[in-house]
Amino acid sequence: MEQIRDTSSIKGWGADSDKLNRPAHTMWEIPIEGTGAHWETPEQQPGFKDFVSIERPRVTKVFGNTVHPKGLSGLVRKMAFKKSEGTFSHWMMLIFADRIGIVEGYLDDFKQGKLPHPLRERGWNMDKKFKTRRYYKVLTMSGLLTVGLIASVVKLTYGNRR
Amino acid sequence: MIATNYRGPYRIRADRDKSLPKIEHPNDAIIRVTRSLICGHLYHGLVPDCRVGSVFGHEFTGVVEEIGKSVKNLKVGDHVVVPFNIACGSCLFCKHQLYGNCHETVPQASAMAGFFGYSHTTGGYDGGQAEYVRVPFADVGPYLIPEDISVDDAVLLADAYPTGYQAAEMADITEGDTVVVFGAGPVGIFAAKSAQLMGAGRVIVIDRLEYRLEFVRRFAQCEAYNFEEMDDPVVFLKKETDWMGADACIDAVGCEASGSKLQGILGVKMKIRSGSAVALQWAINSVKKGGTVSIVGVYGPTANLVPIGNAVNKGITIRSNQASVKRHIPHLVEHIREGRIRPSEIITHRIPLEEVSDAYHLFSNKLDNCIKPVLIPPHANM
Ligand SMILES: NC(=O)c1ccc[n+]([C@@H]2O[C@H](COP(=O)([O-])OP(=O)(O)OC[C@H]3O[C@@H](n4cnc5c(N)ncnc54)[C@H](O)[C@@H]3O)[C@@H](O)[C@H]2O)c1
Ligand SMILES: [Zn+2]
Repeated sequence: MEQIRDTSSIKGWGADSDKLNRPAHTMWEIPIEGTGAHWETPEQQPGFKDFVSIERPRVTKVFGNTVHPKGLSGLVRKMAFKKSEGTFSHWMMLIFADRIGIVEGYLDDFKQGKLPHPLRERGWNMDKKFKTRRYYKVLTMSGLLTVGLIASVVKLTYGNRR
Repeated sequence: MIATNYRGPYRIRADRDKSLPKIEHPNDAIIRVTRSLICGHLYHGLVPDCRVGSVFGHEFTGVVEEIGKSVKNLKVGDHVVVPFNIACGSCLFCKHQLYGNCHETVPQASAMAGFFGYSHTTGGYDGGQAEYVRVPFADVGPYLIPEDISVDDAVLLADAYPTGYQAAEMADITEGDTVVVFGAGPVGIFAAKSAQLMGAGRVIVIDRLEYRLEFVRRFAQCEAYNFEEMDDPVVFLKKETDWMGADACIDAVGCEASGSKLQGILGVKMKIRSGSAVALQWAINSVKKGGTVSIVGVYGPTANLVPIGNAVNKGITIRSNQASVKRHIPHLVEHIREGRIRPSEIITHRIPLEEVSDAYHLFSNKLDNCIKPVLIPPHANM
């Protein structure tokens, strides 16, 4: 078995071995200043439109202000935020809301006149380059599926007329 | 502007019609992104409250375009690296340099600090896989990239390198220790190298991807083994360490670990546990009695299958956290400057921001020997 014993060949070996030279080490013992903050408490960011964990007394001073809750997924999220962070149901409801959000996402795309392209969004171009067999398999499968779907729709509409 | 747009698990694209970010707080800055790295499991839909329409990206560098009226430490035109944690600099935790646990940046949860582009469980901030990004608490987080440090090296200071470093730091390494690192992804690679820099006598890396094992052997001058070639990795490691176990084990894998069908089915497929904790299980079982297990691999917030009884019986110390990036940067810059490490060596792919869908797929499927891809917005000079 290969073992490295001659540590002198390792660039920088032991450079950090003395903890006194490792300023990052003792977090609680060194008096800390110079975090960059020049306030006792930060100013409050205005315009909060989301949920606050029930493990908090108030909204934090700063927050992300994007993709606010809406629709059915928003309702599920609202329910989720009635539970504390230690509960299984809190997180499961959030994951469930995320999945509902996928369907809502398709609807939003259509509303904005965008045609979602699930395969391209999955980066299938890379499969073409590096996983050619998988790429053509997916291509054939989705081709067959589309043809089958069209055929059955045609059969249903025209077949019934006779 | 061009920005990534998450559409659901394994689906992401670049849109061109995202509105530009605005200053929303006096200590905000707007930054024009120059580099943005890709990191995986958010894209797999495992993180709760990850909403469709989010902009991803928590590891980036950029040039300051605009500053809020209370910003003093940055000026327009500064080229900075931005730590992935958003920290206020003044709460109890920030005062103790636990920037990854800032208490003033995530309304929706209370454990972690805010992250850029990483779900509403971490505050719902837009991320840096876009042309521009809003950076809150601009006086606290961003670090001016020194003239002699390249942007490609600097961008790895936003997360991967500091996280690997903190993994080694939490392992409490003393000179000559044997340290096992689970995972040869970017974080594990930096953890292995950092363990060497702290004087470990022997560093052993475990993964299943040959090309990554190959890379880490060279990069961190350590031993590296493929767990798929072992009957039982714990027994292998015991044997390698005189049947005593390693002084410290580092989990740099997290909730998507392979190696156990049971863990995979319960944790990843059915999601009734928060991910597969195989690497952590191995770490606890293969560390020496009284040793330390350091966890930086990310797990979901509920519960995992972990041999806690064995942890008690062996009297081990478990240390874990989100990396406190800001705390490490100045020191890690010194390592780069002294030529002890070149973080940018792990960048395997340079991809235009517009091709983000391909970049994620490449990283997630570990195609073309991918370790870390970097996204480059159109206006950033390659
Ligand atoms: N705590 C923090 O601040 C922080 C910051 C960044 C990343 N992370 C986490 O660190 C972890 C690693 O990140 P990364 O970017 O290196 O990810 P990655 O997916 O590129 O690397 C993980 C590696 O682990 C390997 N692996 C899978 N199962 C294994 C097992 N049972 N034993 C050993 N190796 C195994 C995989 O083959 C892969 O090479 C992730 O969970 C990530 O979310 C944490
Ligand atoms: Zn804080």
